[in-house]
Order: sequence, then structure tokens, then C-alpha cells
Amino acid sequence: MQDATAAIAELGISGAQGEDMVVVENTPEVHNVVVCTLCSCYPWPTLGLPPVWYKAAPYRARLVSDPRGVLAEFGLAIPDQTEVRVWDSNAELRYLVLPMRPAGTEGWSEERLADCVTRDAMIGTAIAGPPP
Amino acid sequence: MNGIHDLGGMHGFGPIRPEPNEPVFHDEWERRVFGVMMAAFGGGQYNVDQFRHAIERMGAPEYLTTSYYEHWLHAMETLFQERGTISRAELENKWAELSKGTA
Repeated sequence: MQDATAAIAELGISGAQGEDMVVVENTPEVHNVVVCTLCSCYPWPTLGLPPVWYKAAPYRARLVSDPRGVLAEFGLAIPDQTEVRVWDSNAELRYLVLPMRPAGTEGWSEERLADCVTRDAMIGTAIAGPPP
Repeated sequence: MNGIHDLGGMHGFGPIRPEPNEPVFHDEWERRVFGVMMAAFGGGQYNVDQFRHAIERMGAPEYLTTSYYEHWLHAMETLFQERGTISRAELENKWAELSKGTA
């Protein structure tokens, strides 16, 4: 959490469009979600190229003013008492959401836990869950 | 730059529509635009800020009615011409050839 760029680089992931990373952690109190309202800034080295919906006008326009409505469109209902935080990426800084660990995964290996995480969970439009 | 790209908070764009199992590129031309953009960037034709600015200068109606990689193509056409890398005449000749199917 202190130095996301370095932590991610330890896994051999670094490079263009991911030079400066900040990780934001989901907790029961806070759900984070990321957008680039001005263009399509996205952490390429970590997540690959962004999907069309992330780069198009509807998401970019509406996430900052109606995040709960947008998340509901993705099938995500965040409880009223959980704060929703929207992070607007910029040319120099990229955000990555650290999803909450799903219940019932105590003692799981890193590999098994990785199967619980989707790209959308790292954008914030989904949550991590046990693989189907 | 108070352009149309500054979309945050605007109304009227409708539902988000994620595509299930979305391919990275929807057509071969998109893949080529990506490749040419990267090659030209590596070759020093522009930096990323200049590239974004060329997209921001597109003009609102065209920006809203064209796709993401069409924005990239537009930016390259703008920047290559401004740098003198290609001329307007070369572009127009190629468009004419392509529309006649003689390219």
C-alpha cells in the first residue's frame, strides 16, 4: 500500500502507462472505483488495454456524478453505509483497486486467491469472489 | 483545454453496455492503428501529451460520433501533417485511391 509501483514491479510488471501506481484498498467501510474522465488512462502493464466501456462517454461522464447507479449497472449493489470513492486517473498516475478478500478463503494459496480476482474487480466495477 | 473530452459529470450519454468476452481489437485496422501509433511514438513523432491534445482538438461532434481508435487515427493524421511528415495532398490522394478501390 505504501509503494504500489515498487510492489507491482516485484512481480515483474512495470512499463509504459504504469510508471506511477497507487493502490486503493476496498474495505467494509470504503468501496473504490476508477475512471479516467478526460481520456482513457489505465494501468496497462498490470491490466492490459482497457475495455471499450471504460474509454467511452457513458462511463466517463456518469461514474463521477452517479457512481452507485453505474455500479448497479454492473450488478454491484454497495450498501448505503459503505462509502463509494471515485478516483479519476490522470496522465501521470494510475490507480488499481485492491478488492476485499472474499469470505471463506482463509488459508488459500496465492494462486487460488488470484483466481478470485477479475479485471473488473481491480477497476472497482466488480468484487472478488470464489471462482465459479 | 475546455473541450468535449472533459466529460465528467455530463448528462445524456445513456447506458454503459459492457461487451461480454470483448476482444482486444474489434477489427484488424484497430490493431494496425495501435501498432503505428506506438511505432511513431517510439520514433519521436510526438509525445503522449501532444497525442492527447490532438484528440482533444478534434471538435465535439466528430469526437462523440467516432470510436476510440478512430480518435487515434485522427490524432496521427493531425500530428503527422503538422510535423510535415506527410502532406495533406498525400492523405487526400490516398483517400481517393482507397475509395475507388485502386490503392
